[in-house]
Amino acid sequence: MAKVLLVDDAAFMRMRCAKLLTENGYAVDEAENGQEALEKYQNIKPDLVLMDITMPIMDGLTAVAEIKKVDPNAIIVMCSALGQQNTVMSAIKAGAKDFIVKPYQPEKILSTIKRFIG
Amino acid sequence: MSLHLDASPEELKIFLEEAEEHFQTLEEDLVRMEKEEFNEDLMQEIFRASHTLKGSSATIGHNRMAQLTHAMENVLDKLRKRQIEVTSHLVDIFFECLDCLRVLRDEIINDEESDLNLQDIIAKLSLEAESDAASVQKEAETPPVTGKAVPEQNDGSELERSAGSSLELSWEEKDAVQHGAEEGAIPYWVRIKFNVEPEMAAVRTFVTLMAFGEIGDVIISKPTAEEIEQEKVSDCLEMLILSRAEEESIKKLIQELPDIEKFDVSNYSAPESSSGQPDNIEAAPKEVVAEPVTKGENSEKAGNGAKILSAKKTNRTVRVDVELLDGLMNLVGELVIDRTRLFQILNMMETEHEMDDMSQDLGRTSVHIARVTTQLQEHIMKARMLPVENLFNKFPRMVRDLSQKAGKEVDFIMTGQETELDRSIIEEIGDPLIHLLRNAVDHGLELPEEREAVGKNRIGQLKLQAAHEENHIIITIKDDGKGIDPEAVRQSGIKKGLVSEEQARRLTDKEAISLIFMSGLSTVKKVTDVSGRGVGMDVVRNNIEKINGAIEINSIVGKGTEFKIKLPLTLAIIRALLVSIGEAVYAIPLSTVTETIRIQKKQIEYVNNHEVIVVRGKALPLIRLKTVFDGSISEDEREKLFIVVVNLAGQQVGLVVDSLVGEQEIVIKSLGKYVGDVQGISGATILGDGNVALIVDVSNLIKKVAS
Repeated sequence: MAKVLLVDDAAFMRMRCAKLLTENGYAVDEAENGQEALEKYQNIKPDLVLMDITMPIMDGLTAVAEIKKVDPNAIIVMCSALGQQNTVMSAIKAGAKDFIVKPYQPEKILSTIKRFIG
Repeated sequence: MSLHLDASPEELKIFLEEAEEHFQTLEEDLVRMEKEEFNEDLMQEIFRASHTLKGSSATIGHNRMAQLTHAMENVLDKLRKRQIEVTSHLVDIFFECLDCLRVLRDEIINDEESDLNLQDIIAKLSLEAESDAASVQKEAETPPVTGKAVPEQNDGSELERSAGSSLELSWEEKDAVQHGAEEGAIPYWVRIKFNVEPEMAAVRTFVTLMAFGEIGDVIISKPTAEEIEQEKVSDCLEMLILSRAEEESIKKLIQELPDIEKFDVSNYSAPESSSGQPDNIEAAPKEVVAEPVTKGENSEKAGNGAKILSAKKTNRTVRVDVELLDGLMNLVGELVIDRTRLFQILNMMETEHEMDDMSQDLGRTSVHIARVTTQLQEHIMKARMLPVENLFNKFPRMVRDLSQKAGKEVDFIMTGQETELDRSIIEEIGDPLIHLLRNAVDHGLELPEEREAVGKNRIGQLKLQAAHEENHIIITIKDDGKGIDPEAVRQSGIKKGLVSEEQARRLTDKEAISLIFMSGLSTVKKVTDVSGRGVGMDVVRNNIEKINGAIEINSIVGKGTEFKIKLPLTLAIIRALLVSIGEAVYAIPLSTVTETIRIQKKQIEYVNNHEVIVVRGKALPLIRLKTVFDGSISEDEREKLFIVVVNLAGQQVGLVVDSLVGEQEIVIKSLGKYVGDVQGISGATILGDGNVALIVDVSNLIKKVAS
């Protein structure tokens, strides 16, 4: 089963996303910030990371760079809100594969994830 | 009108909890933002709170909340980048936003749209966001070429034009195509029209371009990668790529890419075949529907995983209705009574009967029950406790608003927010604290200029402190303002007819200052809209005494004023001194008792026809409880009298009783509606022997003496 690491500081967003993903057959792990994401990435080696941008302790952009250092092949999809295009662009350049814009549409999350890990 | 939110009740609960956290963060941080130097961490935290609220509210479909937080975020973004400066006007606007957000949050709770109009506040926010001239200018210089900016060119017509027409190849690029073709790569023209939010068009274009980079070499693109980075994008992307992949697999790749409305792939060497043929443009699948997952082991496992995860995440708390807690407290109260009663029975058995094995067993069991009851009582009391933080949190903003209105500079310091109090006490203590803080800002602290003139720091200090002290909670409000002039209070008291000139002269300074707790006294010449109407301090005192608390005031002219509020940990069970008057037993809250003394009848003296005794050189007015409660003028034959000295708000009175019975924990019961308000009695309790004892209302008695 494909593993997805869900990184978002809002428990509400994690809960919603996790529900959608588990319902669709993904194993989901969660992290509250970039720091935790980096640690969990190394432990559980997820197939894909859904990464929020604005988070305390370590933001998503830094986390992408850090995870890429550990695993250059990491597949990271940024979760962005409107108005963060510059950060998303930087994240893409840092190695993120794609992005999703909040508020999420379930189909879009699923199709994006499916494209990378089936 | 109901909101039709897209979220389950459970999700909404989490949403609301998180929203409340963010509100608190905003509330605290906004005050800090105004007061402190620019602090990037703080700005980020504020930004994050607003940003997360935006994301979450948009997700549940609360569009108005999303709108407002979006507008807030625009301003906050500029603030954190220091493109605009923090002004108190701006902080005011943010506080207004916060108020609006709370209304919007209530909409969710009530599932009903409020009549709150957001247009004004959003307009104010956008005005602030545009207040940085520099950024406005910058935007004017380089208008973003987005789908919206140039809609007519981008509605798909470009796609239908001949493939080669819009891109000119340089000789180097032609060479590259030539070279690639020799090695077996096929050059393709790819033209894509996006269906994406204009704001995100640049990123989407970039990601798409990168995706093609993975299946071949992008020889040339329009817009180019550099143009995309500079956000010079429309909603179209054209490119020439060299790839070894089949045309079909390239089409398949594009179909998987998100946000694509239409696309066209053609072989570069044969551009004519597709030029001008709209049929060739295939509509991208509107959305990729996820295949239903095979129900079975897989999905079950996933479900389990999520369950374990959520169990780990769940807060170890349960929400309980306050009524249930009240009920529990009441039941424990009954147990406490029975515990006392059990011991009394046991005592009787021990003294009057031989103790056989069985009664010894009963004795041991009673001791155990007593211990469990005590623990149960403690735990339930704990369950009812809340940190005063919940109450204190709203004060920084209030003090800020007040000091701004009064033109004062205040450094507001709070400590001991973690101190816990019974929730019913927290509810009662809110208003008195607000009043005292208002007074401190309004009357206690001086204007900055006045402070400087007397050699003080311009910025006044106001401290709010909560601390645990033995069996009480002490809340202190302390300012370093001008203090209360006892002479002014004396004069005011005389003028208002509260005390005679004679009385006023004999009051110590501390007693004089305590006059401010009497109704109808205000030493402030000017009445502001905040305080100074002379009602208030007596209400403050009444509220505090109603919950068996006490308030004390210390003030030094020129140095400042300190209010000390002593509160019981709980309302339902108190320690009391039991006294007897005739046949009846009365309970006096121990928190008010300072000492008990035994006097000879002949020590009683008379001042203005009132009985007093002299204790340590000071006259102590006496109240004979028998007279108060029996209504009879007692012909007391006893030579020796017991006096219980009680103290409230600096005023002391001696209560004359027949004898002292002992100290005991009592459970307060209200007298009930049919009995109504009885002068001098605040409630009743059931004693261990099953008799009822009335609880003496000390503050009421002291007031009686004062009048």
